[in-house]
Amino acid sequence: MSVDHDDERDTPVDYVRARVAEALATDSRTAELGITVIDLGGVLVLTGLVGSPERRQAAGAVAMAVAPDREVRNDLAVMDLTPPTTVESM
Amino acid sequence: MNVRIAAVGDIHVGVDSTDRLGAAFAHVDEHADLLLLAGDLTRNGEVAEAEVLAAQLARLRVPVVAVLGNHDFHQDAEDRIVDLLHHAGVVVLDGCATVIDVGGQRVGVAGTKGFGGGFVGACASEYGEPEMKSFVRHTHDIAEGLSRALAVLRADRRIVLLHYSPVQETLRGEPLEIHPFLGSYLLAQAIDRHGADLVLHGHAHAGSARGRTPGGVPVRNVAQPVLGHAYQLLCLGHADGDDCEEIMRADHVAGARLSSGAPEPAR
Repeated sequence: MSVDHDDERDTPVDYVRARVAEALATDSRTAELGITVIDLGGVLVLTGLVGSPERRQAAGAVAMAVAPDREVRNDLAVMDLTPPTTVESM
Repeated sequence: MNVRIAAVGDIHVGVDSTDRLGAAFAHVDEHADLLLLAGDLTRNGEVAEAEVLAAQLARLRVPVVAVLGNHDFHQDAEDRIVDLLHHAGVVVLDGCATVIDVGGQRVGVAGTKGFGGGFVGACASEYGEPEMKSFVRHTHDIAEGLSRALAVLRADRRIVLLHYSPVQETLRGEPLEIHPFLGSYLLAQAIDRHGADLVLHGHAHAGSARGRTPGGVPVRNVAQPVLGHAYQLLCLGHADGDDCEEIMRADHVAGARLSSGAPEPAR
C-alpha cells in the first residue's frame, strides 16, 4: 500500500514519527541521531540535546518540512560546552 | 606520576564550529597530558568539517589521539579525514596502538571504531543473508584487530579508545531496542583477554557515564551529550590517590576550582 502524502493527516502517527526521525538523522543540516521524536496526542515533540542554538533551530525546520500537516514542538536543549570543573580520579 | 586525560566523543564538528570548538578546548593544554577523541569527530563526514577540526587541534600542545565514528564515514572520505588529522599532529587509531610518554610513564592507547552486533543474550550471529553475515563479520574483524593491538602493547598505563560501546551498562538511557546498534560484547571480550586500565567510548548520546567490562575494566561513555561539558577530565593516579588530589588542589578552570567529581547518581 503506498502512502499519499496529500492525505498526511490520515497517516498513522508512528510512520510520521519514523519519517521525522529518519530525516533528522540523515539530513545534512542536522545529522542528529540523539533526537527523540515523541507523539503527544498528535503533536510531535522533539527532545534531546544538540550542540548549538543553530542546530536546535535546524532540527525544528527539518521536522516541520517533513511533517507539514503536524504540529511540531521543539523541546531540544542546547548542550553546555564549557570546560569541566571536576576531575574523576581513577 | 599521575596521568591527566581529557576525553570526549561525538563532538560533531560542522563548518560553522570554529568558535565553539576553540572555546571548548581553550584550557585543555593546562589540564591534561593527553586528549582522547572517541569518534564522530565530524557532523557529516565532510572534508570541510575535518578541516575545521584539524585547524583547531593543530593549535593544541597536548598530544591528541582519536578514533573515527560512524558519522566520519558518511561521505566515504574517511581516508582524507584521517590525512588531515595526521597533518594536524593527531594520531588516528584503527585497530592499532600508540604510546605517549607522560613524565617518563609510557601511556598506551589502543583504539578502533568498533561496531554493533549486541551483547550477550541478545546479539546477532554470523548467519543467513550476506548482508547479515557482513554486519556481524565486521565487528568480529574489528574486535580481532583490537585484540592484536592490545596483545603487543607494552605500556605502564593501558587505555582503550572506541566509538562504539563494549558494554551495555553505559547504554542505559538509550532505548533497549537499539542497543545492538550501539556496541558489541566482542569489544569487551578483546579488552578483557589482554587487560586495560580504562576504556573510553562515545556513540550513545543518551547513555550513561559509567560501566565495567565483565573482567572489571572501568568503562566511561564520553559522548559529549552525556558529559554535560566540553570534555571529561580523568586522572590516572597512584593507588593512594595523592597525585590526583594534588591536581585537584592546584588546577583552576576559568577561575573555578577543579574538584573531585561527585559519584554518578543511580539511574
